Amino acid sequence: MAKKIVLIGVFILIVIAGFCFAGYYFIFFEKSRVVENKDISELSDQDIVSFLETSQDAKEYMIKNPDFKIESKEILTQESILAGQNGLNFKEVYYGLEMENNRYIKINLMNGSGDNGLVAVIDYKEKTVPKAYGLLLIKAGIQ
Amino acid sequence: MKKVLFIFIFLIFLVFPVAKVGATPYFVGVQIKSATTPTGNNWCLPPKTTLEIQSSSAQTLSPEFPTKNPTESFGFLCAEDTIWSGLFNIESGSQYKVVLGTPNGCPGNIYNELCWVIYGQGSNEAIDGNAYGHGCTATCAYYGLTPYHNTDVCPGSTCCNLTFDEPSPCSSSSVYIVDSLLNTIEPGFSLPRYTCIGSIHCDDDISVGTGYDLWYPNKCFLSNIYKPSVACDYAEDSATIPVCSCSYSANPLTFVFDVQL
Repeated sequence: MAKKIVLIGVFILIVIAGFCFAGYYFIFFEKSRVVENKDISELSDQDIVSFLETSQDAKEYMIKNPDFKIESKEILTQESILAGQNGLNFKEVYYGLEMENNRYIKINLMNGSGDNGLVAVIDYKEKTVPKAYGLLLIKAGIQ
Repeated sequence: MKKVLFIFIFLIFLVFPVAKVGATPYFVGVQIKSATTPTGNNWCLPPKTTLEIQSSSAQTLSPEFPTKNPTESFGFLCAEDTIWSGLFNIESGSQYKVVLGTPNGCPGNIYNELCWVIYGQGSNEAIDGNAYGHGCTATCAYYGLTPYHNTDVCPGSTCCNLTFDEPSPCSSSSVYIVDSLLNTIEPGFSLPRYTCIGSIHCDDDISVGTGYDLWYPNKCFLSNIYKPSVACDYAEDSATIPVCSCSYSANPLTFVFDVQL
């Protein structure tokens, strides 16, 4: 009898795990699979948002700031990666990226009030979001 | 059976990502929306303005590699310009201080409560034409400063001809240390200061100094302040450049913003 209960318990756990895995797969893989055949230069804003949703940080940002807009998107080249690594600001965004042309796309998001943004890098080759950092902007004036 | 159960639970932990715990990495920026003088002119924060992120108790925080804290602006910060911090792990619900600090506003050397900048340097040729074609008024104005005397002629009463001599700092041509570079800020002056070691003394023989490519000013107003630890004699004049005296803000400005995430 006890064996039977354990077996039923394991079966229920397997079913639950199966559902969870299916959901996980849908969220993290299925959306990016839709755009995998496109050229990186053809990615639409919706494609980019779909990719960003696979990053926990980016997803959290988009949920907290539903009025966000894509401020800029830039396909990175070897030169722009190198320039970014040696630039004055945002070195971390470029640090650790492979020196490849047309592999990464850098995205800047900003919320409606212009004080909370996100800078992210999509690795289109690996279908991942290796970089997603918040941007906190304080506006100051002196008169 | 228990083994199967444990393995299964172990596999679940392998497959599913662990929920993220901890702070969110942020870049913090301060954007200058407007900055005007009482007379209505645009005003900019000077080069090398700094941005530092501190805890609520004013402790300087350590940023993520490879940036530093504080960061420095490269040029002037005028309306609509933004200075960004490095990357920090900021915790929601915590309070932070964002400290914007200006240097003394002198991009050259300070002496006699004046800021001395090299005449004509740093000019924008597209605006000013020939880099050496304008006087101390324009040179000081380029750095956001005002000329100490309102003359526009150089050489003139406010323009000092700074003479550099070839140094022969010690009796042995190889035994000396350079204490510090007093100012290497472009377009300021690069002024090494010597200390002779042990019994080695400063050399009167100007020829011994041959081969040094370091320069030292011994004339003009600067000679009194930049004397080396051991007095040395200097050779004949070898180069002369004009510098302008400008008024500057002696007190650094500091702006503190409290940020609650």
